[in-house]
Amino acid sequence: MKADIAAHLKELLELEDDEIQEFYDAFIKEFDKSCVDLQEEGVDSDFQKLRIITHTMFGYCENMGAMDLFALAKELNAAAKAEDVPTCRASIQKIFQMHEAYLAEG
Amino acid sequence: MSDVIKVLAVDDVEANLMIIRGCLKGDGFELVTCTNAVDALQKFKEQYFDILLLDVIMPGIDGFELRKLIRATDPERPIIFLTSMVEDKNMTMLNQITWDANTYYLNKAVGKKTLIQKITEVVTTYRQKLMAHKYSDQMEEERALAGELQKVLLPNWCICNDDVLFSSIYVPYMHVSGDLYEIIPFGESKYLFFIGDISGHGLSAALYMAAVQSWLKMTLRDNDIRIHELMSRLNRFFCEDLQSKNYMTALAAIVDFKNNHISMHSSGHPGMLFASPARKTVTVSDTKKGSMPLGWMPDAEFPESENFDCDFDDDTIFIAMTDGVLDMENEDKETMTADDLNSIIQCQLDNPNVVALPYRIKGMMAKMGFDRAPDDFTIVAFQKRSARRGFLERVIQAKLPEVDKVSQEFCAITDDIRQSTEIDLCMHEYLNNVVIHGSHDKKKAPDLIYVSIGMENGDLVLQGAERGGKWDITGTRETNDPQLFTPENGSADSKTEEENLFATSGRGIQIIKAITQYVSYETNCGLNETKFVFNKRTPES
Repeated sequence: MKADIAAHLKELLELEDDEIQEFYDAFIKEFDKSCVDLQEEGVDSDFQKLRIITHTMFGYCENMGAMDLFALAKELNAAAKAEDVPTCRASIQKIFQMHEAYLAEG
Repeated sequence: MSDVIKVLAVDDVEANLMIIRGCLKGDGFELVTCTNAVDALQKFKEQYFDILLLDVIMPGIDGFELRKLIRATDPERPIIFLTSMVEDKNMTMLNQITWDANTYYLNKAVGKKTLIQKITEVVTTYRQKLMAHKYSDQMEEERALAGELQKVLLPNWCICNDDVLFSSIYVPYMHVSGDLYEIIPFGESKYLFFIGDISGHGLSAALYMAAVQSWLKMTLRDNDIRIHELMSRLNRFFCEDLQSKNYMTALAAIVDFKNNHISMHSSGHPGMLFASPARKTVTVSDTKKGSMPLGWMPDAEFPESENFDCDFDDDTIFIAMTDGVLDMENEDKETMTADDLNSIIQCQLDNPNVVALPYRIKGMMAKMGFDRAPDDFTIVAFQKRSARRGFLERVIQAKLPEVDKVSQEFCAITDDIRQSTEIDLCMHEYLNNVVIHGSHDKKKAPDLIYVSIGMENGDLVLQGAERGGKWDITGTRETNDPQLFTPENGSADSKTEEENLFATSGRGIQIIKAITQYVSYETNCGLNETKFVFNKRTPES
């Protein structure tokens, strides 16, 4: 979660503590956007679009060190690839829950 | 080029650009970011960037499409794709990234150190490549300049004086050349003829060539020098003064046009050919005689016994060449035999023309397929002036005032006022066009124009030879084309307005048609030969 991201950014970019929040905010902003996109696609989604959304998520999750979200995005990507609607639905729900948790951490 | 590396990063996710900013902040990098390909292309057009960092998947134009658009104008600018698709990377994707030799791949979140290291390494290679291109272009420019200077050092391609008519074709392999030739007067009707070929190509051969030329001119202050002594002294100059690592083959001859005697010495060089228009024969100087190339050994001997001496007829045409002529290849990489060359020359003896001969030989060689040059190419031909008795011959500078002078001189060959006027008109129309059109395009401007007039098979014939642009006058008898000369490929559509103005400025075809029986034109390897045969004059006319 936030502590993991901070640790990752410190190592990756050699950032100071006071510089972390700005990056965290940018991450949350992207995460918000992904959730909106997933909400729009929903369970009746176009699988190709779901794969594109998850690719975008891979990028910023890996960059920011949000490896828990990266794992969920990977799970959703695989389900979309397999056109497995129940798993897609479950993965999206897990992502929304994780979004709530990240927001709570501020 | 500054040390700061200018980077253009393109990613539709702002958080990813933030990471790149974080990696490249501080000295050494100047970063511009874009969140879409359209903005990136605009920035790329406006500013210089050393490298581009691209995301692969972006809405609209993706990273691969963006690279294609960039490559349309810039095939070498380095691009690094930053992608997170490690897990599901596949061969198609990797192939897409790597088909371009100047594209690299990095995983997203590789870390500051790795990213900086990769960018620095790639940009350093790119900058070195740019420097190498620049250096190579500069070298090419310098070689071209050296080549032009070399041409200035060589004698004029055509020389016509009281003793000798001389012509040459000289085609360097790489702008500059190790070939050299000279014809230097010393003493009464005596000339030193020299042709040499310095080993190797390029600037070093060219510099040696210039040094040898200067040496020859200095040395000929001593009028009594014998040809083998000249070679011996030149060998010492080559070995000791120049300390050359190159060597030179050479053929030197003292030609006495008063006594019709030639004394020559070959140092490993192809022999001199003697063409006799009267006997229709081509013979070569004694190839068993001669000595080793110059520059091999400082104390090498160049004995008198190895000189080749002979008398010659007034009409003998001397032809000398460098190895490059015999090394010309056809598409099967075969070279020409000495017999082939003799046959080519023999074909020319029915209608011998010393001025055109070197060009005609090269032209014939090309027709036989020997048109691939692995070396510098030089052929020279010369003949005693009295061989063309009754012909008035001049070599003039391609300048309009020269045209007036030579026309006046040529008009004076006849007392018939009408014929004289016809000669004057024809010469002006022809020469003015050659000078004006040729000079209009400096690259094709003729430097010198050879003109002659005299009786040939009962006809009065005016001939010209020059190395200006090509002209096509074959249609002038059959059509009422108002142009005297139509530049080659000279359709009006393909020319600028100014060029068309020049192309149509000649009013001369009407005049020339009225006063000549026919006009012939041929071009060989850059030499244009034009021949005007005048209408026969009868007392009544």
